[in-house]
Amino acid sequence: MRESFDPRRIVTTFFLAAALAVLPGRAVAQQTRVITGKVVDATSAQPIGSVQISVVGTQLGTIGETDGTFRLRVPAGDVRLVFRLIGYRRKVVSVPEGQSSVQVTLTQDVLGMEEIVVSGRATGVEKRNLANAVSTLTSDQLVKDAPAASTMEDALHGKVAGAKVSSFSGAPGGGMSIELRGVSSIIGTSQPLYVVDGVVVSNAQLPSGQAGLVRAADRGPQEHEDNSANRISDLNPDDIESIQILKGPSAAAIYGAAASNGVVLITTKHGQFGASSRWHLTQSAGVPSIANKVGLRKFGSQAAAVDAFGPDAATYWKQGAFFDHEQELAGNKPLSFETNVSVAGGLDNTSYYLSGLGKYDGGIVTNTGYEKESARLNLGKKFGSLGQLSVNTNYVRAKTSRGLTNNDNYSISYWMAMPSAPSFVDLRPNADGSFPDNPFSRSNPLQTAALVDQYELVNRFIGSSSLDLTPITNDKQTLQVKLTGGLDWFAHTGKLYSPPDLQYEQTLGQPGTSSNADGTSLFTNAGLSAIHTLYMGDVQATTSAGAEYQRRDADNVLNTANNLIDGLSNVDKGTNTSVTEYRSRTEDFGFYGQEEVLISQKLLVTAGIRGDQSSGDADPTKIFWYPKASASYRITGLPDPFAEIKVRAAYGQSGNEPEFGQKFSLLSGANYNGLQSLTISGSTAASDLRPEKQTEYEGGLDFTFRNERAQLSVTVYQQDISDLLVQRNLPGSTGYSLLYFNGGSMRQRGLEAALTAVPVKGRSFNWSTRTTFSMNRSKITELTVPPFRPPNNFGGLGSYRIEQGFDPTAWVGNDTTSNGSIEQNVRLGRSRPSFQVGFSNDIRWKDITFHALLDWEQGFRVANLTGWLFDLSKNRWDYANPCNDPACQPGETLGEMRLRLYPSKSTLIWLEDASFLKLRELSLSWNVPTALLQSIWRQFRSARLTLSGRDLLRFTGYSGMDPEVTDWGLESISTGQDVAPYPPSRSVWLTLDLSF
Amino acid sequence: MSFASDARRTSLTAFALLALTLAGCQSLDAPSFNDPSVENLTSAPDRAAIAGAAIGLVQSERGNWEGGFIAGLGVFGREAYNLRPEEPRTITNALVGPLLSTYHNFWDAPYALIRNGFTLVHAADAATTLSSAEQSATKGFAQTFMAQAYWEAITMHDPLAMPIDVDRDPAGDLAPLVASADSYQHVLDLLDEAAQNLQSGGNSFPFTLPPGFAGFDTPSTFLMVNRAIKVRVLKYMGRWSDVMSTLPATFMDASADFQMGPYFDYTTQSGDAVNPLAQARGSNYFAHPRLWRDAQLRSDGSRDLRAQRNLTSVSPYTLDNITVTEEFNNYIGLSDPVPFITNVELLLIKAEAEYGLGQTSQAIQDLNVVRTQDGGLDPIPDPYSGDLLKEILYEKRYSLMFKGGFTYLDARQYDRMGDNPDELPRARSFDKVFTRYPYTDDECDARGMNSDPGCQPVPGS
Repeated sequence: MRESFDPRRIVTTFFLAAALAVLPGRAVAQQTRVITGKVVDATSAQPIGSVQISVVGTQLGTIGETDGTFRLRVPAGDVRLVFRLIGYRRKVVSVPEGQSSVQVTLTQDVLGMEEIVVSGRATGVEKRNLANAVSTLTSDQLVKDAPAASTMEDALHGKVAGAKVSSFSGAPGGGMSIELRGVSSIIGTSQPLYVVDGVVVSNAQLPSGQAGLVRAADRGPQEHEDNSANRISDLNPDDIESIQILKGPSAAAIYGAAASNGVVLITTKHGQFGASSRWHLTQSAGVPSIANKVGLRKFGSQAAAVDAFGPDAATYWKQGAFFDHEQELAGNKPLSFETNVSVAGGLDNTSYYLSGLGKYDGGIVTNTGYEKESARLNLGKKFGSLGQLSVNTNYVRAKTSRGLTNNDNYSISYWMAMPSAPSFVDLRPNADGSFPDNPFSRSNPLQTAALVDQYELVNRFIGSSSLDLTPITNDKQTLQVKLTGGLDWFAHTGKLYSPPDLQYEQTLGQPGTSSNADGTSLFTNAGLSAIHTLYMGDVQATTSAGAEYQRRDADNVLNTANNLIDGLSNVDKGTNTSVTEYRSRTEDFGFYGQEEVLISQKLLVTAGIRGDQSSGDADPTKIFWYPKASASYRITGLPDPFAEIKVRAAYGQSGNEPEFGQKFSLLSGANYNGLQSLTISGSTAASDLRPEKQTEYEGGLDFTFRNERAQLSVTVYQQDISDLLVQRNLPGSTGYSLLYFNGGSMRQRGLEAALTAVPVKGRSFNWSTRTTFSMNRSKITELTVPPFRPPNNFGGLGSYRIEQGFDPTAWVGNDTTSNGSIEQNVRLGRSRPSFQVGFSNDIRWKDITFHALLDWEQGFRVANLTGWLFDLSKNRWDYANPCNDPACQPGETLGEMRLRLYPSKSTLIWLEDASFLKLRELSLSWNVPTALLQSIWRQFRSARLTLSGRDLLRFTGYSGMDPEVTDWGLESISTGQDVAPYPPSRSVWLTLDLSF
Repeated sequence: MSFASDARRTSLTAFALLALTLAGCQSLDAPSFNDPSVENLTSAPDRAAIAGAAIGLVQSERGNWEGGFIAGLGVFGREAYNLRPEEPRTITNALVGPLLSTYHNFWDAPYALIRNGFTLVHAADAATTLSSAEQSATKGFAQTFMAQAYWEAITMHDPLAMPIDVDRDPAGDLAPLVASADSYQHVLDLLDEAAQNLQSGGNSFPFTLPPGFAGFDTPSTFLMVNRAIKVRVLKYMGRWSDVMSTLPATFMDASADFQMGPYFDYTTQSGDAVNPLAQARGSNYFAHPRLWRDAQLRSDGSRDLRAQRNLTSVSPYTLDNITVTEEFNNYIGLSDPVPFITNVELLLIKAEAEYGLGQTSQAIQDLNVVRTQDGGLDPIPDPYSGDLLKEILYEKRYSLMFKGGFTYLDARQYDRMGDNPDELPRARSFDKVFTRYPYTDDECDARGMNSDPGCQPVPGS
């Protein structure tokens, strides 16, 4: 009989045992007295309001007033009071029996050493003791530094060592990839897990229906070339209190089989119990403008025009005629704005945070833009000493129109049509509003942009609740039981209406296309955890254990109609209609246990393990185990300039689950003149398909300098990924094209460093700076099958190759040898930066603050396929320039040389160096003096006026529109393919922040 | 005990129970929602599954024939140009080359059909709902299409050795490569095995064939299609006497409609495909100018009827230094079918075989039947002092214009691929003609054959 290990039994036995072994608590019936006092800042002597004050060893506590004073009823006898406020170091003050008044000074926690950082599924430790390189970002870094950032991810550029944040298109409304410590999967996802207030939320990228119109290789509902934004863009950055980023398994192991790419933990704002309500208003207004164009060729003579566009060009070419179609299409500067209102506060037992957002980001391309409305209500309720309930709810409505960009096979997408739209033809509308046809191609991009109606609308609700019970709290131990539950639901509609009178619709034989993509997604999860902390003198031991269940459901339906009757846009009004539907479901169950021991506030040792099961594995009952261990030690008593050095080491394992459907061998159904047709779909899976496993070893040193004026963190890590999920192209003779299986190992090594310093610190002049540095190298260490090409790239135009001993993210292409023969599969450079540096500075002089953030990524290439398409039509701006390159043949122009070295012969010609330095953020703000402010209205507490710019400057040798774009969205390996993207923009904003 | 600690005990017990419930309510199951799985065909297949798989073969061959032979070899044979400004690889890949292993033409698709064919053959054997005759009929049907697919792959990689024994676990050892001559023989053997199955296949298939196969939709009439495929294979092998002995079993009939034969349908129904070559869809395929230019004149001075019928003039269009002035009329509407094998092809093969056997008079006689009735041209005299093969190839080019890449295949068979107006004229100085594709990169990687000559790019000439 097979021995079965059922995790459910262990979990339930534990909780029953805990329930029965409750120790009696203390009774509460003693004499009391009152203590009053005031809290002030140690440096400025200004009062500090809303400080949390509690009595050691009891549940008693209060919140200080805004003027720093407080009043608290305490038990008779000697007491010790603890004073806590985020941004300040905690202070414990003894108040002996006879004393009834106390003056307290708090010092600022500049480096955030006392910030509580996540150290397990439900536990946290102070940053000073943390054994992992967890990056933390505060609300200020997100919102104050990046006012009116399009989405939350947009505000992360250059701020997190080890994170590569790139927007894959210039379109408004998001669409960003975050790679933490490189790419650790080939066909699995490379994006981190996002957890908001304990709930795992969806970051899906859904098809908008565009592919059906423009006929990029149509993969139906799993299309990634649609250029739609991924859903983490729905969050309102203003609602975020803090973000903690766990970069790899050594930190994230406790999140188990979904955490190989790291975890981004987002905590939203909450009110404070007993605090009076505080209002905050932010109003921004700004203007975007195009940051870079491809450039159109000027045809100086009729002969040149005819040579490029054929004999018909003679009828259109005129001396001096130059129409800048790019400027016409993408030259808009729409006024954009953002309004954010929030109120936070609480009564004795209740706290609330209510916020509302209204945002409109205009797009630089005609008929594109992004609007978002969001409302949030976070409530907290204390049940005396028993515990606390918090409920967070958020509703978002986001509508995006991103236009028709990226790859297509029909010359409809704007920059796919642009190469065949010479600059001597006027494509602007006629006096009566109609558009001329483009005589040299199938579409007039100006007409397409003006007439096509395209948008994606998302209605989303994220709700989570957490019941925190503390049945035992005393000097010796605490026991906390936490019950959490949450859901993330959204409905996504992608509508596209391409009216029949468009030039290209007339050629399609079935004029008029309308498509309606409807998707719903529901994530639900529920979890239970227990945390027991034991205080034994200098030693603090925390034991935690828990279980959680998660389910993700999605259903996407795509309706497309062609040959629309009388130009109506309903999808049932076409003579040719097609419907496709795709559903998926994944259910996961996991459980964990962890032990953390902190000795003398100096030595922290942690060990834990997690077990996971998933419906996506070939065997859903099999449990996969993910252990972790870490230790850190603070060395103090050091000579100047060091205050302390922390040594840390961590180890952890996590997994990357197979996606829904990969384990099935399917048949494709089709219709053949009314008869059902079944063919093998081409992909099949190994019978033991299971999650990838990633093991990470991380070590680091954190140097804190005297007076906390600077901190330097250095981290090195190695990730060993085994059981890589690979999707091998099977050789055609097998009759299949793809095999999903686990068959390889990969290794990543990297270095991260972060330096935070306050070189000048004074009352009226202050300069702080923050620099991050990261580098990462990866290599396939073992591959049990022959080398293969991962999906989603363009073959000889620059692709990738998974081969033992080589970097999987290296570009691979063709090269022509000196005797004219062509060598295939030559490695031609990196697709990910050799290193990245983020450099941010904040200078404050009296009431004025200056902020700048530079982002430098060096040493990588991008395939400029847009440039190639322009060259093929002889329409690239420098096509006719004389060629001075040594590779030129006599008399050749630049364009002719590039065409001769066609990418299938020499791919390098279009794999350009895309290293860049971008000025991402620049701002100047004025803190309105309190006196002036309060003379307007006494209730105002603070106000700030900021003039800021985003992406104002870029320095790059890349000749395409932007070095960060890619055609394929969130692909793991295949990135860096520039195919007719939406152009990048820069924007300038004026923002008013008011609190009262 | 105080009230407070009682409350604590109660709440903890409650949570323990909740944990129990939580832990028990997971089944972790997610079935395949979106497509049926292969199990439908491998274990106890029903008639609907068998029918689906059979039609699947027809659908696959439709794509392979139209895309590979009509369109792809149409360009190779300088019958057509594919001019797409947004996809320049269509011009360069087919006319300039070199042909690389990353191109998977004539490999992946035929072998996928062969895999589906094997699945159907095994399903037929495993289907208890079919009678023994129906099982044979189904197998004969599958094997006929499989043989066609083998031939397509073999002929476009001639003279490379080919994988033949491919009915095996896709993740296991690959099929060994079999020399070209033996591969062709395998095709012939498979066609004969299929013929035997069809002959014992009873009166009807256990599934309905699509309208394009009207007249060929029973085992005995479908056998004629099988024999016609064999004739074509034999003809390209130059086995003239075998051609003559097999022709009578086909549907060749000089007194019947020349266009008679099995067709592949297209419709605009949801889930079906429309004809990709249809004018109504804005097809990018244009006629090579020489088709109109070189059409022979009739006695009244007008051009060959086939040129008039199949070509229509368009305003001159230039892309990448290639100018076209005509497009095709064969496929206008989105639902226009494409022919698979036509009566006139068989008639012309007969003439060709007679020429090959030295029976010149019979060849001229059969040739004139097509020449006068299909082309409206004056017959050629007997004896003929000119190049009779050139006339035969002319008739094939015009009667089978854009119907199967026969211009290319014939030019290759007779080594008439020179750069001159009578053979395969190159439009630009760097244009090339290719005799075969290389092995695919996936195949080369998987077999560790990357240094083999068959895996190198094919430069053409």
